Amino acid sequence: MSKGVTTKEAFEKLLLWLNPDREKGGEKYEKIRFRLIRIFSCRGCCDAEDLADKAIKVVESRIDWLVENYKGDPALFFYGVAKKIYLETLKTKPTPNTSLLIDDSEIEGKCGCLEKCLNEELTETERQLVLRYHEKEKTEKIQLRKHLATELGISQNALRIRVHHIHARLRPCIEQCLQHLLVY
Amino acid sequence: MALSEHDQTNIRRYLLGNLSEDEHEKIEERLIAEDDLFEELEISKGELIEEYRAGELSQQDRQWFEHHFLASPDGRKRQAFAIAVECLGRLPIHTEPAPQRFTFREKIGAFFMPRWAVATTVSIAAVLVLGVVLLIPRGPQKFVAVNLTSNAITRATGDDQYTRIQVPPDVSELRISLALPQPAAPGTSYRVQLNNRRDLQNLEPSGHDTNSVSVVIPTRQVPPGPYALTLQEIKADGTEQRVPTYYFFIVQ
Repeated sequence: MSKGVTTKEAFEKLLLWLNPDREKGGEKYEKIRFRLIRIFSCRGCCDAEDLADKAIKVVESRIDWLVENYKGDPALFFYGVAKKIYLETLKTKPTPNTSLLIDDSEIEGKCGCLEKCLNEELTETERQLVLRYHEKEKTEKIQLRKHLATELGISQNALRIRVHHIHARLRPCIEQCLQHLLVY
Repeated sequence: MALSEHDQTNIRRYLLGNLSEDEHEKIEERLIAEDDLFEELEISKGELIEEYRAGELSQQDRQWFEHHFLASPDGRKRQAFAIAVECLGRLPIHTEPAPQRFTFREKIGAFFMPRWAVATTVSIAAVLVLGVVLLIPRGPQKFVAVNLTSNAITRATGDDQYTRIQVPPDVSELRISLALPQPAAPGTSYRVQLNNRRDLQNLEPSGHDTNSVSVVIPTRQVPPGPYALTLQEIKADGTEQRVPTYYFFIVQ
């Protein structure tokens, strides 16, 4: 990056590099950032957000070169940088703290709050679907879900996608109920 | 790019550390760029957490999962969400006509239906017998006494697995004895909460012995419908432990 170029300028260049429409560039930026965080999480990094931001800073610092020379999907360049950063962290990666396991009973104690989320965030049909989807255990669960998919006239894959979208709507409210348990 | 079954399998293998380094990198390159594959990742995380919690993963997969994804803040949040959803999955699935289903003829007919679980049948029998024996007119204080147990059958979801308690209109108290899954140690006390599916209410136990905890609930607080009683055990050293939940259904 050339001297005198501020971080703000570099950031603006980055957004334009991602898409000539600044708003769409912003959306792509957020999407890449979110996916980098998820990838770092899958690798077990406790500081996934910091690492993703570090990767973005590195890309930002090279934006002038990238604009002139890089060909291809920008997301893949971000990933390449993230991979190198991850390898650096392996040298100093702390042992995962599995003692931070969740206490089931603490969550079950919040059942009233959780149920409130169910009633406030979902329609009645969605509520029934989610409750039935998670009703049984093990082999009974598999049979029940097949049966549910048949009832709804959709494939099992479509059913799991539908339930996933309902979960995504429910998650912020439930995380709010459990926020005292999710402090690091 | 449409997903194949191979993609779904590979996402699982990715989350469980079963890919080669080269495969690992290729799948991450796709995850950063492909919306469908990324969505599959998010779905598979939830499913693997279910399997993890059910003890269905191999020892090796379990360890990898714990030390990688579950060790991250996202993993912890997803695990908490999975536990929350399990808790919700144990709630009764309320259907509007439920109170109307229980006509007198249906209750009697259902009592003799062989397909009902033995524990549930015994629970209903116990309620009817105790309800008749203990419905003694002592002036204004009429009560119904019930023994509740908590086991896999009574905790199963669905109205017809809950203990039915018939409460005549002139009864003012429900006296419930909660059978403990194991004898209580000396010095143990208890906290009880009533969940009516709208809010949680703390109840003061009216007494306890080695094998049970008693609680009295004014009947005006339990109109017809499903309920859950949660019992928190407080040991002499101050540690607490949750006892499995007791479910019942008030019918008129």
